[in-house]
Amino acid sequence: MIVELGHFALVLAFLVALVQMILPMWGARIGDVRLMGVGAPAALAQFGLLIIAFSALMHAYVVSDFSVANVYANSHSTKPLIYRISGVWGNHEGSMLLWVLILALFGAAVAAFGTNLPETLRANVLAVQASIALAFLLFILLTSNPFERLDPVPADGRGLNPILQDPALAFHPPFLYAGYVGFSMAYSFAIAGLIEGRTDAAWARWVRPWTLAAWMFLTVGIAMGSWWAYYELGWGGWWFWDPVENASFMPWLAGTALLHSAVVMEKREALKVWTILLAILTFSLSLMGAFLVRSGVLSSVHAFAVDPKRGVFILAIMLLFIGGGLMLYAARAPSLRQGGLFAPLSREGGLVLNNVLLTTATGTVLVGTLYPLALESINGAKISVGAPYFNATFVPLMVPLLLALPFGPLLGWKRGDVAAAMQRLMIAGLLAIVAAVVALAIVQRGPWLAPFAIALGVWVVAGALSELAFRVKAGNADRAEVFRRLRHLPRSVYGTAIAHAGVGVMVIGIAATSAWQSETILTMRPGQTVQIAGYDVAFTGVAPAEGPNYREVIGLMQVSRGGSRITELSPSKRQYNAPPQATSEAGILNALAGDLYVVLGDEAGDGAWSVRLYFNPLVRLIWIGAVIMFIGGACSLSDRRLRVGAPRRARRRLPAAAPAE
Amino acid sequence: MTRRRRRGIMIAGALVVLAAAVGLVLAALRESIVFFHTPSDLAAKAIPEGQRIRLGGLVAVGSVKRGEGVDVQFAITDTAEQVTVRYRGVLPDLFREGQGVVTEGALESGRVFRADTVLAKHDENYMPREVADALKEKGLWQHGGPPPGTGTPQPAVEKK
Amino acid sequence: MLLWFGLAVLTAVVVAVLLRPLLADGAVDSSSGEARDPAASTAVYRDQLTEIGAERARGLIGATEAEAARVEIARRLLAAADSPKGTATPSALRDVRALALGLAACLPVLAIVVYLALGAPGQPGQPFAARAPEGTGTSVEQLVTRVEERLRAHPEDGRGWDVIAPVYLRLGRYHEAANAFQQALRLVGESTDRLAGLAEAHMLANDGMVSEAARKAYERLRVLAPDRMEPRFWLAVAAEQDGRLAEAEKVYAQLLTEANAAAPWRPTVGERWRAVRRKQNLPTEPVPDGTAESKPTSIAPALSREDVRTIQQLPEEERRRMIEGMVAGLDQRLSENGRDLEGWQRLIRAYTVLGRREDALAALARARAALSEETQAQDTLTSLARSLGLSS
Repeated sequence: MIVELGHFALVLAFLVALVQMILPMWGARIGDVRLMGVGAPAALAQFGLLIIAFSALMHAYVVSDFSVANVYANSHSTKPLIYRISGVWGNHEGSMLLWVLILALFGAAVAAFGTNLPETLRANVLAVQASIALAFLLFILLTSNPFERLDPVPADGRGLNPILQDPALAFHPPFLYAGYVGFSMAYSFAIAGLIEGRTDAAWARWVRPWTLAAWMFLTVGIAMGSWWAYYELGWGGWWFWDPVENASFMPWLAGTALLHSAVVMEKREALKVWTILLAILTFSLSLMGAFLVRSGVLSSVHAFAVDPKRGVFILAIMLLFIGGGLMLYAARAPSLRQGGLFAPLSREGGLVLNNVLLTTATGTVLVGTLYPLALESINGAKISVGAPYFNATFVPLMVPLLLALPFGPLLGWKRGDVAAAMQRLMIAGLLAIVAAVVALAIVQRGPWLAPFAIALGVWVVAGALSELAFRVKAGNADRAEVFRRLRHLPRSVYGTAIAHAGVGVMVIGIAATSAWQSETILTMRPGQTVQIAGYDVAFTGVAPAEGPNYREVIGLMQVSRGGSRITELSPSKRQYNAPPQATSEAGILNALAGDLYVVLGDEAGDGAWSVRLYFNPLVRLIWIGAVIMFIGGACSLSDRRLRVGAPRRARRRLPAAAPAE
Repeated sequence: MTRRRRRGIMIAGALVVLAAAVGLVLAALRESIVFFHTPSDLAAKAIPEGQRIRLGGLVAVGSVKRGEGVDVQFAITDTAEQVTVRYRGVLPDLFREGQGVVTEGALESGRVFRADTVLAKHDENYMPREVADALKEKGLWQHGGPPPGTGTPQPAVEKK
Repeated sequence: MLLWFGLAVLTAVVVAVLLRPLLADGAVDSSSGEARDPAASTAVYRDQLTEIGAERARGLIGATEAEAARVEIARRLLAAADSPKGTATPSALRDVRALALGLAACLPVLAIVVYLALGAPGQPGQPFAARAPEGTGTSVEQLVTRVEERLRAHPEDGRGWDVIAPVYLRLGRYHEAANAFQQALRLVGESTDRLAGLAEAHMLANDGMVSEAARKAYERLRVLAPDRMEPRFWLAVAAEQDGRLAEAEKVYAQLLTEANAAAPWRPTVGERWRAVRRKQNLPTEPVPDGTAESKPTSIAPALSREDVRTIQQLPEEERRRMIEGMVAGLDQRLSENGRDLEGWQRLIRAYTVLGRREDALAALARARAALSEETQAQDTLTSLARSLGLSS
């Protein structure tokens, strides 16, 4: 019964989305307050209904109701509870339901906390948001219904792919989707703004918290995916430039550009035309990501043709929203008024440079991702575009961006004083040079570019801190004054500095682990010891073990350094029961200097096993950097400026808190 | 500076970045893309030794031989031709005889393929894309249907 | 019933939520609606003005910049205050009540129509836990569950694996079937049935592809039971999959030659044979034919895979009877036409396997008589007799 209730709620949500799309927009057009007023309760109702639907599906998973086809295909009665829950979105149908649930969550957040918006803008935003939900709900109901039933009921389910049976799956997709889908808000605001002809500084401020929240979630979502791939796939790699990864990375790049250009629009009313376009493009890239991942076009061009329903449907959705958005843009953009003037060397100029580099970089990633698909459909040649391509195109674009990054916040609006900024960045520059020299002295091997990359990371971190120091007049004022200034600095300034420092930290991690990773592959007999990066790793043998739904062979590795024992690592090879599939679990030792990463290979006979060991220096900084960026975003989101704009300020809660819920 | 001149400077700057990026992309596409070949392609086309390619097909049954330490040798077949592959390292969990595989590396003298990367199929339902396509071209795999090699009488497949 | 009640309540709540703003007293909304719009943006600009004041006070921007920014924002403030937006009127649409009524009527009807088209309201939820403990029932699934539980506790119970393996196979749980057959083979011992089951499970689990494991099992089966048709056939399929087309073709042709015209699997093998010939660009006519009276007939079960499976699941006694029936048929045919060396070999071997030594010796003698003119045949028979321990 609960399943059917969920199914009905899904149908009802679809109809509510239809109402929410038509009535508020109609009301905004003819100026009828009552029609516009339907938007907010409809958005809340839609969200409530999808919560019911999603909970019903989750319930079916938790109690292993195999009369639901989706549960049968992706779960098993012996699966641990946490994977039964996270398994809800570990498959196509369930993840689409999560997608619309988050879409509705953002809509409901606007309905509940967007009371500072003008009535018509809010009505239009909710209507556009509902149109997206409508398209995806139709997609779910027609092609990917998670509530399809089976009769007779199978004895047991087929189980979840063991690679997905990992705690990371519980968090990675929801965060990623919150990011992807969050950019729908930027799109809805852009379309609503174009419909109304209202694109001004206030618009930029209203759209900012939503973009920022989406960007934060996407940052953490991508980082989690990278972390998961790092420890689960057993290759010690943290980024593969795989099309699925690129699909999430492109909206991130465009979204980052959007965040920065919206600042210019908010402060100076400049770059309006560009910002609106970027808002449309960012969500378009999210949709394209959904299309690439969901249509099967990546696993095989032919898979797309085999089950055309889903692929063509998503393609249609994508073309509708991208095409529609761009057409409206083309019609309305010329009528947008020009904003404030600024010199090329100014805060605005810096942000333009940021935008140019980020969007160009997005373009190179896009080309690298789509080129194989395009080439294959044109002449049938099969190619793969891998890391070498992206290293040769993406990285060179990032270098000037990182070099210029510390200057940006130090330049004034309208006209910046580069010489003064340079002076303020003197210390940061010195630190960077010292870092390069130290790196060179310590490692003395690896590519010559590596110390430079480390220096770049240090430069960005130190530059971000220099900005803070300059703002509080550290060194020029007495301690009390500095302290007072620290307290009164707007949180958005902190947010900027923290997020920028996060970028620098990440760059250091990427540079170190890419340049100086060490790797050893060998066959080890019990009792044998191998040395890597100063560690002695002794293999003492293997032991069988049994988990809730798998058996495994655990390799016992004693790790010591300089004669003193540090820990025992136990990489394992697992054989899952349902579906029967093998996975490797890496044994990882985290230390300040880097990760010792051990993978058990195949048995080579006579009790010997092939073993693969890596030492990944400073690899953790990559994810720590992402977390720092997230914190920076949160800090900026909590700035009181983003809460401004409503006549009745006292009664409201933080809009900032909304997406986090 | 007039509004027009400022704009001109900025547009020129953006174009310079764009041009640089296009140049990078074109150069990278020429140099760093890797073509996929089947064993039959290797037999038919003259692919120079040392050129980086991907080679895919099925791991020939009975061909996997483990050598010293972590050296492995196996053969990749597309049912018509067969190529010997040498690899040093740990094979992926899902590497099995008779299953699809994609390797990346270069040809050595004596038409032996030296692989530095071996990608096995990702999960139970997934066959590396290039391999699946190549086998389909050979008519060995009907769409949506059972995997390679089965033009077999199919009363066997009653699987749901 | 409860479900329909739930659906009704859900629909009613949703309709009420949607209608409330439509039916609300227009006057209240209109005042705030009119006031809000310009207020919203002016509030933003006012805030920006205060911000500039604060930044100036902290010395973050110079006096001239601050002044310029203030002018800019003031201009925006004025523009926003003048904006004609927000002149919303509550009465722009006169028939709001009609609209509300229409909505209230259409929404539930549409919801029910769409739901009935997609949903299964009659089917109750069937949580796993609620189904399993009805231990008294004897449905296959419950039996499987019980055996599985037992096997989890005693994984070394070979008999349990032996029992559950064919059941898994029939339920379509091929991976588990393969594993169970494997365990049974390891724990109980080798048997043709287990090997056949193992091979079949592996093959079905691979969507019909003769995997390495299936191939090994069939090879072993061919050694143990050379007369069975299916290992030969599937090994030929495996050869085909490995690209050894000529080899596969040969076996198919052999099977066709030996086949009884009425054998249900004949068209399938014929189809395979034609396909292999086509792949080698060879003519696909005529299909090898064993139906002429003189041609030998295999005693291998002339059966489709389904039938083979049925036979395997028959009780020992019945299966024996069935096989003996087939042997008798072969005996009959050879009595009528004795010029068939291969047929005689099969018959002799079959009697030996069935433990009917007397009959085997008799058949040997009959064969010698029937083929008395062919010395080569005599030699073959002699060596066969020796290998089967029939020679005195």
